[in-house]
Amino acid sequence: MTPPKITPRTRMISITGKTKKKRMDLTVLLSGVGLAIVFIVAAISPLLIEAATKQSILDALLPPGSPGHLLGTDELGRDVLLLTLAGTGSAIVGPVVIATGSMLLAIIFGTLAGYLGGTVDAIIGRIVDVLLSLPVMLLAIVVAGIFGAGYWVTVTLLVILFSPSDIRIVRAGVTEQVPRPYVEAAQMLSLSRARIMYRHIVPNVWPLIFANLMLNLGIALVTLSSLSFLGIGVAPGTPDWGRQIADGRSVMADNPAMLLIPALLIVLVTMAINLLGDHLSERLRERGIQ
Amino acid sequence: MSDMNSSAKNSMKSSINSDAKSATKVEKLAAEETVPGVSVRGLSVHGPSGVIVEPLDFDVAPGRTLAIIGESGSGKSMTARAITGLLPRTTSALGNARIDDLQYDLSMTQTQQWHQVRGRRAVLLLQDPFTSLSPVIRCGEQIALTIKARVQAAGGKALSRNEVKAEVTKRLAEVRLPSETAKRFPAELSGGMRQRVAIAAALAAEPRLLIADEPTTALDASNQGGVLDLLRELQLQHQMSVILISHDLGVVSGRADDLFVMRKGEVVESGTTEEVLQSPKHPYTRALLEANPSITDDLQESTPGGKTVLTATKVSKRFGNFQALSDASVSVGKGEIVAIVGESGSGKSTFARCIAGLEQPETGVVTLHGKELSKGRAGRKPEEMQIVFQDPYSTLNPSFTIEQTLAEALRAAEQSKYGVTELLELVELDPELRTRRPSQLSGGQRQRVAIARALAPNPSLLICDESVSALDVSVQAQILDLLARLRDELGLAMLFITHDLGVVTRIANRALVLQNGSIVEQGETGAVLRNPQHPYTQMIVQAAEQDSIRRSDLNRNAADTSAQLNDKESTT
Repeated sequence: MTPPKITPRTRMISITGKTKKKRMDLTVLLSGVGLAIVFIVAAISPLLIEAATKQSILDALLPPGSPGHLLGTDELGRDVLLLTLAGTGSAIVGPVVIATGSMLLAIIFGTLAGYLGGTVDAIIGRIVDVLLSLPVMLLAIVVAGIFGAGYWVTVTLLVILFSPSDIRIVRAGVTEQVPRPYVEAAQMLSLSRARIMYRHIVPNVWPLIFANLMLNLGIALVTLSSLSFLGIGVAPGTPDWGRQIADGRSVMADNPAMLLIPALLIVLVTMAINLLGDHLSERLRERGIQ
Repeated sequence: MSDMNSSAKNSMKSSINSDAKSATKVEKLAAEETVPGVSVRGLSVHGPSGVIVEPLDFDVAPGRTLAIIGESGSGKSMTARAITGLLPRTTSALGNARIDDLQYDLSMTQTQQWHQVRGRRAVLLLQDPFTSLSPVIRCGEQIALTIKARVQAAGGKALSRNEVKAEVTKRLAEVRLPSETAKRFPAELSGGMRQRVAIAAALAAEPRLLIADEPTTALDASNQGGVLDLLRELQLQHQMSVILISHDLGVVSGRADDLFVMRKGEVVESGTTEEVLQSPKHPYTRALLEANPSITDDLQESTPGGKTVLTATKVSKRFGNFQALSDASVSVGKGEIVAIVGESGSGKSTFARCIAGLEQPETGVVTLHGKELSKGRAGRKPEEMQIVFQDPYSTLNPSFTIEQTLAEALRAAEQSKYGVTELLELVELDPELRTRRPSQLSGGQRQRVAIARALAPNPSLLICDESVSALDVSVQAQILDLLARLRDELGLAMLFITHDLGVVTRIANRALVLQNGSIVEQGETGAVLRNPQHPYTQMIVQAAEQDSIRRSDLNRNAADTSAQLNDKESTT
C-alpha cells in the first residue's frame, strides 16, 4: 500500500498545533528565566542589606526617577530599588522552606496513613482535622505575641500549618497506589514496609507531590508577605516586600513605587511559580503515563 | 456490500473531494442521491509519530454488522473513534463519512458540528460498563437524558415526565431488564446488567449507526453471548448499521456479516465473515485463528503430579456479610498445573490471595512441603510462593527499570540461582531490555518480566491470577507456552486462576470449579471439561463449547460442509 500523500489540510493542522505549543512554551520560558533571576537575587540579597538600610535624611522621599535613586527613596532616605532587591531573600527563602518542609512532613505522615490505614490512619487523620481548623493568621499573631515576631518562628509555624492539607493529598495519592499489583508483588517479596512505602509508592505519587509543592510555594509567598504586612514575621527595619507595602501606604503620594513595585513583584513571582509548576507537573504526568 | 476494499488511490480521490467541499463540513444530501446506511471513504488517522490507521473505505448497510478484528495497537478502536470524532488529543482524522443522508467530514474539529453526528446518528458503546455510566446518577435518569436530548435535537415538544418514564420502561424492556432497574444506581447492578443499561441508553438516541467497541470484553463468559445476541436482535429490529470492534474472533462468528482484520493500522484481510473465517488468506488471520484457545483444543496429557507441594484445607473468608469463600481445599504437586475456574465473584481470586497470605482467611490451613504457613504475609518467605497478576500495565512499578525490578526480587530471596540476565533469558526476553522502563514494553513483554520477577526467588509454587486474560490472543498463546515450558523445565507447581475454559484446556492438568465461594466440581481436566457432573459446570462448559462449535463450523472447509450436507440428504 502506498503511503497517503499529505493533503494541504493535514499540513495546516500540524502548523497550528505547533504554534499553539510554541506560545505556551514562551510563557513557561519567561516564567523560568524570571524565577531564575529572582532566585539569584535572593541568594545574593544578604550582601545588599547593609547598603539598602543606609539611611539619609537629606534624601528622604525622593520620587522615582531621581538621580542615583531609580525608584526613589522612602521616608528614611533608603533607596527603594536596593530595599526591594534586598527584600527578595526573605520573600523567597521562607516560602521555599515552608513548601518543602510541609511537603516533607506530608510525605512521611501521608504515606504512613495511606499505606498502613487502620489506627495509624485514624490518628493522623484526626490530628490533620484539628490542624486544618486552626485559623492561620490569628494563630500567627498569637504565636508572635508569645515567642516574639521572629521570621523563623513564623516560617516554622507555617510549615506546620501548611502540612495538613498536603498530608491529605499525599494520603489520597498513596491509597490510590496501594491496591495496584506492583505493591502486592512487593509484598509477595516480603520487602519491608518502609521500602514498599518510600521506595515503591512515593515515587509514583511524585507528580502529585510536585504539583502541590509548586502551588504551596505561591500561597506561602503571599501568606508570608501578608504576615509581614501586618508586622509579624520580620524584625522592624529589615528589608521585606510585605513590610515595604505596609510602609509604602503612608507615602503613596510622594513615592508610589515603594508600594507598587513589591506588590507587582509578589503577583508576578506567584504567577511565574504557578505557570512553571503547571507546566512541569504536566510534563511529569506525561512521563508517568508514557 | 460491493465496495469493501481499502485502497490508497480511492482515499486520495475522496480527500480531494472533501477538500472541495470543505466549506460545508456537515451537509444534508438530497434524499434521491443517497442510499440508506453508512458509508465511509478514505478514513485515516494520523498521530504525532505518523499514520495510525491507513486509509480505508467501507459501507455498512442498515441491519448489517461489520466486525473489525485486531489486537491491541491495530488501530481498530481509533477507526471507531474517528467516525464519532472522539479521537484523543494529538491525533487527527481525514476522510469523510455518510450516515443515511448526512454527509460529514471526519477532520472537522468543532464539537458543535460533531453534535449533529454523535449521540444522534451514531453512538459509541464502550467496553467498560463500569465507567461508561455515571456512578452518581440512577440508571433510569441516564436513559432519560438521552431521550430528552433526542427529542430536543429533533425540535419536538418536550416530553412530559410520564412520557419519559414510559419510554425509559420501554427501553429497559427492550434489553430485558425489569422497570425497577431505572431506580437503581450502576453500582447496584452486575456487569452484564450495566452493559444492558448502556445499550438501552445508546438505543434511546435512535441512532442509525451503533459502534460497539469491545462491548463484552469486561463481562463474564456466560454473560458475553447473551449481550451480543441481544445486540444483534435489537439491531435487526431497528435496522441499524453496527460496527463491532473486538480482539476475539470467536465473538464475531455468526454475529457479523462482514469482517475486517486489522494489523498495525492496515486492513490485512476483508470479506464476509464466513469467507474470512472459513478460508483465511492472510497468514496473520490464520495465526489469530490458531492462537485462540478453545475448549475443543487438545487436552494436556495428565502426567501425575510429583510430590505434593501445596495443600490448602478448608479455607474460608468473609468480607463483612459476604461469604466470599467457604471451605475450599486444593493440593498441587510438583510439575503440575491446577486450574481454579470460576466467574467474577466466585471467590477464585480470594482463594488464591488467602493461600498467598495477601488476605487473612477466617479458617483453614495452608501447608507448603508439609510445613504450616502463617495466615498473613508476616512470617512468609519469598521463596515459598509468588504471584503473576492479571494486568500487565500495573503489575510492574512504573518508576523502576526492568533491571531494578528484577534485582530487587533477587535481593529479596535468601539465595537465588539466577542473575538478571539469566532471568530475562529464562522468560525469552532480550537481556538488552534491562534498561527499559515498563512503559517502553508491550503488554506481553511486561507479563514476561512479571513472570521473571516471580521466578527470581526460586519459589516452590507459582500462582497465576488471570495472568493471560488481559493479553492479545497471539501473545496469550506465547505466554501459555512459556508457562508450560517453565513447569516442565523447573518442575514448578502452579495454581492457575482463570475464567477461560479454553485456557484451562490448553494448560491445566487438573481443574476445580468454584461457584459462589464453594468448590462444585474437581478432577482431571479431561474429566471436568469433557464429562461435567455438576449443573453449573455443565452450563459453563456448554457455553464455551457453543462458542467454539460456531468457530469450528466456520473453520471447516467448504468441501467438508458439502460432504456433510450430502450425508444428511442420503440419510433422510
